[in-house]
Amino acid sequence: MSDLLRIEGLVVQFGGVTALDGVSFSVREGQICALIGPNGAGKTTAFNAISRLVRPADGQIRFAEHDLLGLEAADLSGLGIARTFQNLALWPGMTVLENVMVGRYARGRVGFAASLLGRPARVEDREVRARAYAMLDYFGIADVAHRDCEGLPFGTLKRVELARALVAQPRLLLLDEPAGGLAHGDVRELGETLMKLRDDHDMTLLLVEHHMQFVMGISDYVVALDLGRNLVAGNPAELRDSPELVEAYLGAPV
Amino acid sequence: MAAFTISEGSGAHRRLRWGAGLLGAAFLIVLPLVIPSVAQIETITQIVCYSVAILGLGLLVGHCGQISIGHSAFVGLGGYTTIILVADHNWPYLATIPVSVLVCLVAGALVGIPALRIRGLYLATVTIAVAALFPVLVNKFPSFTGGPNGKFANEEMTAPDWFFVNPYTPTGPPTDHYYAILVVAALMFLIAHNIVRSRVGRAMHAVRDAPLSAAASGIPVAKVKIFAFAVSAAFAGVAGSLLVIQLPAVSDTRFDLYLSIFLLVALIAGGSASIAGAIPGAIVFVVLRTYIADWAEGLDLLGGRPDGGQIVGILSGALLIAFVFLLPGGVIDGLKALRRRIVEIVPRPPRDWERYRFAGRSRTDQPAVRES
Repeated sequence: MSDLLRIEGLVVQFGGVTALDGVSFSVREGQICALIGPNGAGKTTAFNAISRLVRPADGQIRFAEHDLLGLEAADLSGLGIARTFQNLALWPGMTVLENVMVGRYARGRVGFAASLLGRPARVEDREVRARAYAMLDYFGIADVAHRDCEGLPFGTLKRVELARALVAQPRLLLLDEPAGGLAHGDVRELGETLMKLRDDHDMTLLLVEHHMQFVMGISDYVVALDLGRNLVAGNPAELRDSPELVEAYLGAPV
Repeated sequence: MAAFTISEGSGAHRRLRWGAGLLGAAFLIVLPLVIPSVAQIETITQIVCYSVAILGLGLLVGHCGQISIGHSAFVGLGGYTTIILVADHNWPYLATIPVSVLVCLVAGALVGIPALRIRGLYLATVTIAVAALFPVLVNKFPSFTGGPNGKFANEEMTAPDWFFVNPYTPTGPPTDHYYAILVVAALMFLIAHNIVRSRVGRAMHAVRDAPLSAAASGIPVAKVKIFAFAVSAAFAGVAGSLLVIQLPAVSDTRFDLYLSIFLLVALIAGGSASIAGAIPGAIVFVVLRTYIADWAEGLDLLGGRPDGGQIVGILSGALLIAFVFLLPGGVIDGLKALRRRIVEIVPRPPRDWERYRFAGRSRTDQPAVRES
């Protein structure tokens, strides 16, 4: 299996602070890869650099045959990369269904000029609406399709965001703390869903996660960062007892 | 609870929509024929004209979340385009509208460029400059625009002979203008409806509510903003052309900063994120600027001074505050709430959605990776 996403020597600086200092790792096609590390390790920064929301000072990000650093954030969806956010980034003024429909923007064809006419947009709209609804049904939340996002439980909103990412049928799914804030049962269900996406739906997943049990349970490969640098990497079994990892989380024995 | 519940897309729902549409159309067509006075026909014609400007402003402010206090300049640009082409180049009135659209599309896109870097209060300030600049520019080129003396067309727009309105009555010509303007305005409402319902409309909403996640969902935020500015300005330009058809005279004071502010007040009063809200908005606008102004001018306590403008300003400010606190969704939101009391339309799942059951990537009907 080949590398779908390859990151080499990534450096990100915020003012004088170096958040990432030469991080390298790759994600193989068809695997679930997890990015872990204590707070401030640079996990989310790496994530935001991949989705082009943060501009790296140095390094390379390649997705399949594309050089992502030459592209804009908005181009990624069309290439087959979708993401979710740590603190949810849904649109409160739209219904759940409309939120999910936006996720399929890059697959749409109706341009600015065509949007002035009624027909092409209506035809496209019908399909996107049906797909978005089917996506909500997949997560068992079709009953809230026509409700506004505001006021829905957190677990439901997490599913809505996942549905919005998946409705684009991405090749690579980036998940920023998918289990964060979820109840115990929801976490298990999420793990099953993610493994199903990998096994049945041919997707590659990269996730940032704090929930260790969850990460070790579903990941094929784990990359640990600390203070903006690579710490260790390997499969969950190899990493479980890694002294470096224990030290990064708990501190060195005195 | 609503008195009646009907399912979305059902026969009853379709009949209700067609019925309401036909009733509205019939009302608008019969309206000038039953009104005896020229002044009143002119007032309703103005309402139609301004509704197009407010509609355009709504696309930008309500749907895309940008702010513009410069729309008077676009209305003026459209108005001057029409009057110059008609008075100096003998163009037919209606043929000038596409030119206004083009001119304002370009001007709107240019004004939209600052919106890529700044927003909120700062963007408002930049657009105020545009509104303030327009009358100055008009006075700078008097050979072209008539300068402070204004510009007039010698002939009003006339209807073709086959048209059913008799032009040799006092109400004939204003009725002709009303119908011409109504047709153009209806077309603009249709276009606005199409935009909002399309993929681009959803992108505008996403940019309004959370630009960062919009970009992460593949929406080219910069392009969407520029598009919103350009289209919004084009609507304002059409409104300007229509205003000139209604009254073929322009001057710099007809399109000053106050117009921009009143348009914004009217937009919020009508309901900014709603297509239909432009209609109550335009009614509020014209009532404020004509009836209230006339009433204030006649007030004894002002000693006959023409201070109506000040009173209108004070009232609009109070109205704005009242709406923001009491009915932030505008008049149209109130009307919708009222309608929901009578008829509840229950949304239902999209047709044939089972066909699109999620199958991931393995069974997609189109390639997942689109070459750009």
